[in-house]
Amino acid sequence: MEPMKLPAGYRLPKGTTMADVRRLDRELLASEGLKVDDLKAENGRRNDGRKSKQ
Amino acid sequence: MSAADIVRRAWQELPRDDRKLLEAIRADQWRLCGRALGTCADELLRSAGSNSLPPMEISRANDALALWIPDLRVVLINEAHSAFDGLDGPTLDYDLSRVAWHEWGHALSLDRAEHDDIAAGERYVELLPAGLAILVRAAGYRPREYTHEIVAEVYSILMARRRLGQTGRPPWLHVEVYELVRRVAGWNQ
Repeated sequence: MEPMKLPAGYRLPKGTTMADVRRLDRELLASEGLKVDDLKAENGRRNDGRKSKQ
Repeated sequence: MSAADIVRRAWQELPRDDRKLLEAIRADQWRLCGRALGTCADELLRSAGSNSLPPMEISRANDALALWIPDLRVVLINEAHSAFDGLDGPTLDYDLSRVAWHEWGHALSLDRAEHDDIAAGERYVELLPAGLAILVRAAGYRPREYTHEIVAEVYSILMARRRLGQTGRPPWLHVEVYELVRRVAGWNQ
């Protein structure tokens, strides 16, 4: 029997959010002159950042 | 747009050759789970007759926003992960697409990266832009996972960049890393 191949996941470092990922993306893309207004980098949340109900 | 619609569109946005490559390695299936992915993956594996994942792997995977499960040939996405909570429509679209592209990059890398590519993971991290290198190092990946993470993450950013109409090697990406992604993920845009 072949050994199990472990799953490969998308995890964020502790204290890092997807907003940080978007900010990094925006910095990289903007550095080459791309218009990145659509990447709502820092915020992008409804209700001024308050969490929605689960 | 629902999470399912977003992921479907992200798939359709992939270059046709990339979709064909993913289909050829049987990596064209995905599932939205809406709960901790380690537990979800373990249940799916056991129901398919596989062994259970080691408890530490379940715990690691439970933190993940998405997973590629090589033995089941499926991408799992936890659309209920707190990282996606409360996002407005365009931002959710970006984040879910970004994560799905990352996982398809993973699928390509896990199947196609050579031993030497994996062994050179630390060197490839050193060639990344500083912010990306920090993400790879700080997320708790093992050194032997570095190459797969780099291929997946760069592939995903290249897709985001392609959505903005830009192709070719970005000036911020070292030529060796770009060639790695071209070789392993088949990127030819």
